[in-house]
Amino acid sequence: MAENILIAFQNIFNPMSFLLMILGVAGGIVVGALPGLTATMALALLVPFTFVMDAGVSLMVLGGVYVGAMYGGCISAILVNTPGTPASIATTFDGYPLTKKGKAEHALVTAAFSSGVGGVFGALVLLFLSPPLAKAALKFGPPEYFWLAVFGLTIIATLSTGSMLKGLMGGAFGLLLSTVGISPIGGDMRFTFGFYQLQAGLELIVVLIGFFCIPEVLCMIEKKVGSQDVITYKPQKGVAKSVILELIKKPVLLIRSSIIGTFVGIVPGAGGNIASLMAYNEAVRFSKEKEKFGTGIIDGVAASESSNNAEVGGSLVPLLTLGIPGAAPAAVMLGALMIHGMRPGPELYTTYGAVTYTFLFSFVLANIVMFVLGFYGSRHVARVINLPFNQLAPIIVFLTIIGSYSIRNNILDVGIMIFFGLIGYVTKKTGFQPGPIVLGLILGPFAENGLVQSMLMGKAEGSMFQVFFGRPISIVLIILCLVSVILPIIAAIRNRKGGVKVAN
Amino acid sequence: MLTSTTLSSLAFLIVAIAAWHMAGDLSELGSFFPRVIAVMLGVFSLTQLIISAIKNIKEKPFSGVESKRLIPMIIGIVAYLIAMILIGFVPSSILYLSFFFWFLSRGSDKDLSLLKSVTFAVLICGGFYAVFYYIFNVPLPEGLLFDW
Repeated sequence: MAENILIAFQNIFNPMSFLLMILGVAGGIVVGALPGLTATMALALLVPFTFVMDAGVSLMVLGGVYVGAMYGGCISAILVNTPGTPASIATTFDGYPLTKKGKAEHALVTAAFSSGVGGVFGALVLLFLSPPLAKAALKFGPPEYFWLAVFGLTIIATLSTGSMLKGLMGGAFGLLLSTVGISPIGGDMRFTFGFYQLQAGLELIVVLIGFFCIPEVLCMIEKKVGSQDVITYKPQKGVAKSVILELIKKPVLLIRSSIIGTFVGIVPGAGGNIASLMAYNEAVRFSKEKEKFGTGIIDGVAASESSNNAEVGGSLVPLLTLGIPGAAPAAVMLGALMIHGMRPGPELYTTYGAVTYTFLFSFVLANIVMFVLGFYGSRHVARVINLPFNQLAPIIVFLTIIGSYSIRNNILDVGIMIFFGLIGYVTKKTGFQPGPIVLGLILGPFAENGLVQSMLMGKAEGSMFQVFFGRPISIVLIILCLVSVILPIIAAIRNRKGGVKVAN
Repeated sequence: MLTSTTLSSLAFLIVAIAAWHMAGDLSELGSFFPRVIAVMLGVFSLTQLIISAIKNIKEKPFSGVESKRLIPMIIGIVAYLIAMILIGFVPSSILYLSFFFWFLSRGSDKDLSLLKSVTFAVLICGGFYAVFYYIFNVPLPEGLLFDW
């Protein structure tokens, strides 16, 4: 092992390999920042080019791209309210309001620092705890997935600003949208209206762009000339230092979010979007200033970004140890491993030890490189928002069109994006937030698979109750669901009583 | 009284009923989850309808909206899609960007001339087209009428 680690360090600090990794991180950031180009797509495009490289170097570059793309998604989420990748959806909740307040640099530095912390955390977990964590994740069966999805849906209580009932309606609508396409169990064609392109379901990022971006553009131009909320960015000295000092004082927030991200990453099938939403929800739950979330505070950005970057390391744990990709980009990484004749499992740490440790240590380093690039690049990137709204609004629409088309090279996706964009605008004006709708769309497939498969298991075992309520992990998740639902109600009652006392 | 909340709740109720009805043609396994969700959506919408009927809250969600710019923008986005299908990505994008750069700048401090708008549009469109087509190898839509 010591010999392998020594070779790994020699590989990593080879100037050419190191430079290629930095380029990979930088390229990943650019791709992630462009709406519609995902980490999966970037990796898939790059894999053929890495075929000619040495196995260790190719994994270093791919790891760099994966890390960079995951961070890059936050840039457009913060600056124009459009998540560059689905994993940065929760970053929009506080990132964009910060931009609106003229604090784009605060949000970008927070994102860079938190992503770095989360990424390094996930990478260290990947390095040291891969085998035992992979075994724990394997204990998740359909009932656990179902309860995990239900737990995720309890976030609606957090995301619903104004009316909880409207949040629930939005969540149910999102769940219904998630059923479009071929049913996962049974194979029925559902709600496709004759469009064969819809057989694979609604493309998540297309709907995300529609719900988050088009309403924002329309809200931007609906106001009278001169009365728009002008969003500007002026570089301020010492912002980065003060933000980082503030974040250092919140180690619990960063570590909790990183743990959530890593764990969600390890559970096969759950991606960075679920990780960021869950971490955001927990950040709200444990905060003493719950009401400030959604109005633009760095805690929201920190929770989302540290978790989605920690998820990257987590998603590679089952991949390297069991050959099960924890997320879609990890599946592409599996392809890259196989191209070089490597098969996941114990062999990776013995026969291919030098290559594997090169990848693992470079992965930690890639996260540090990502932080440095994000930290120094944020003030330059933030200048984008200084464009006047009359130029910014059409450019955003232009980007949404490119983004929604380039996912599947499908013009129908552009139509779907515009359709949901217009629905999003009307619902936003009538008090329905896009967050719960999108949450339902993301968690729907998990909930359905878990529910229907558990029911089949229950029929086979002869006890539905035992399947849904009799498994240890399920019981823990049910308790978490109950706590998640009851706590906001208690808090609301207390606030009301407090309000009455103050009024008296 | 019909408020925006009442109307949106009604719309969601109709969606729920339609989903329940359409799921009837599916197999038991395929229809179970959509029907459960349809019931949930229906119950929430109905509750919201009842609450808004009791409370009778006056809402003006579209007050202060300047339709002179909003409606052309909505039409413009839809027309952009149609134009893209017909004449392809590059010309439709140049047309859309040029028009809205010019149209939205009217009356503002930074008024753009039509020539400047077109130049700006060509540069942006060309730049992004090059990046996507040549670097990312992502082909952007070609029109039905012309190959661009």
